[in-house]
Amino acid sequence: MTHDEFKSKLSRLTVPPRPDAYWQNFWPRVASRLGQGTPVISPWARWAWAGSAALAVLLAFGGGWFWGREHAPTPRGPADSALTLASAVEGPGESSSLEEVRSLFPRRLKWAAVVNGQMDFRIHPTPLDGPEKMVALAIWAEGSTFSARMRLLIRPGEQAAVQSDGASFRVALSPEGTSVAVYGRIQSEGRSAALETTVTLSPGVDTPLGQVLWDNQPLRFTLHVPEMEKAPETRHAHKL
Amino acid sequence: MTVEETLTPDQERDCLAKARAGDGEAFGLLVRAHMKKIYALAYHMVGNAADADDVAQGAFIKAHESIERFETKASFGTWMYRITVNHALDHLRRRKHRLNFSGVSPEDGPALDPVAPDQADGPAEERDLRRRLRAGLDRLAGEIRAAVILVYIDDFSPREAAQRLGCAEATVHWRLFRARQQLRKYFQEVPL
Repeated sequence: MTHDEFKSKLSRLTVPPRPDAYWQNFWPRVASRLGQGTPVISPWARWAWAGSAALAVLLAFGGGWFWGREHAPTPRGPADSALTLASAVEGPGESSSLEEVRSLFPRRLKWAAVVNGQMDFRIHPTPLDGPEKMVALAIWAEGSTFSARMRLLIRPGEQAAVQSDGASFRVALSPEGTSVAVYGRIQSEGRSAALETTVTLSPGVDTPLGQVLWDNQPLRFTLHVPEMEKAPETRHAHKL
Repeated sequence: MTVEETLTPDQERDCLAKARAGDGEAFGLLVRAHMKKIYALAYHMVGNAADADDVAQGAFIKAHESIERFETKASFGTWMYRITVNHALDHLRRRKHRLNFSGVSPEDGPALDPVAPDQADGPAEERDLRRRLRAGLDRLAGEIRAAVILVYIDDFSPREAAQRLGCAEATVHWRLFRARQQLRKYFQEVPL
């Protein structure tokens, strides 16, 4: 295949169109992260995040020690008690923020999520048996008058429930980590719309979850599961 | 409401001067003028909409942080291409690292070929071709993929691509040569 043939073939790769609302909100979202628009992520918020994380570590370890002392004679599974933390984080740093939370609580994180810049997570009070296995997901709702997105790191068998700025999501990952049940709801000024579905995870693919009507316009929910990057000379693959 | 701005070279220079002086609105005009091209580049680099959104926004944030160091003899678009490619490469490295803890490994199962929504349009034959092309592109190392995107998809000459990638023109030719080698080999296994 020649240079021109490659060019002819590869030029067929196109970019999926985004709705006008996405482009209208593009600069405002960048500006808000630069601290020029609303909401502003102030240096105080960053320190609050660092301080909250440190406090979370203290509480988690303290709670774990206390829980372990109370129940030491009887081996038990993870309790339902959870620790919650919410803080503003930057969009482009969302993934690294989720990783940081995971690394703070090795083998204890149930799930961590960032919805519209707000972080929330739950942990087990004691480390879980077996290897660390977390699945990364991204879900976004996008319409002409409303958009919301969530990045999530979740352990198989767990259910995450988060809400922010008129959008709430409940996501339950199957124990095998192969399918996910999603409940998404948006509400504003007494109105609401919700969507519920279960889909099989398909790494590397944007999976449509369905749509609801919002302001008489379709609002589409989409799921994405990141795919493992492949080395150039090998055909690696994976399953979730 | 204006979604996308179109700036003449004079207007762009004016916006740049104002943005360098701290004018946020002027920087906003630059973002609106370039956001679609930058998003498209990010999408081709990372292969999905969610990550492309992160990369494109992150690239503009990096540009804002370092706009005082921008050399006005270059165009803002050229500079943004370089920032976006570098940011996408960082993102791909982080993604590779991030997925290492997701409990998946290359030994876990058979290959899954990615297909994006845009590749799901059109006749089945065309759809399948796009899916294989995307899979082939994803197999290339980031630096090589960037050269392929700029020359084969965005239609820049190797010299123009070199300016945007911040490397020598010969390096672009070498990366394209390597890309053709690797893609030929891949397309022999998975024929187009």
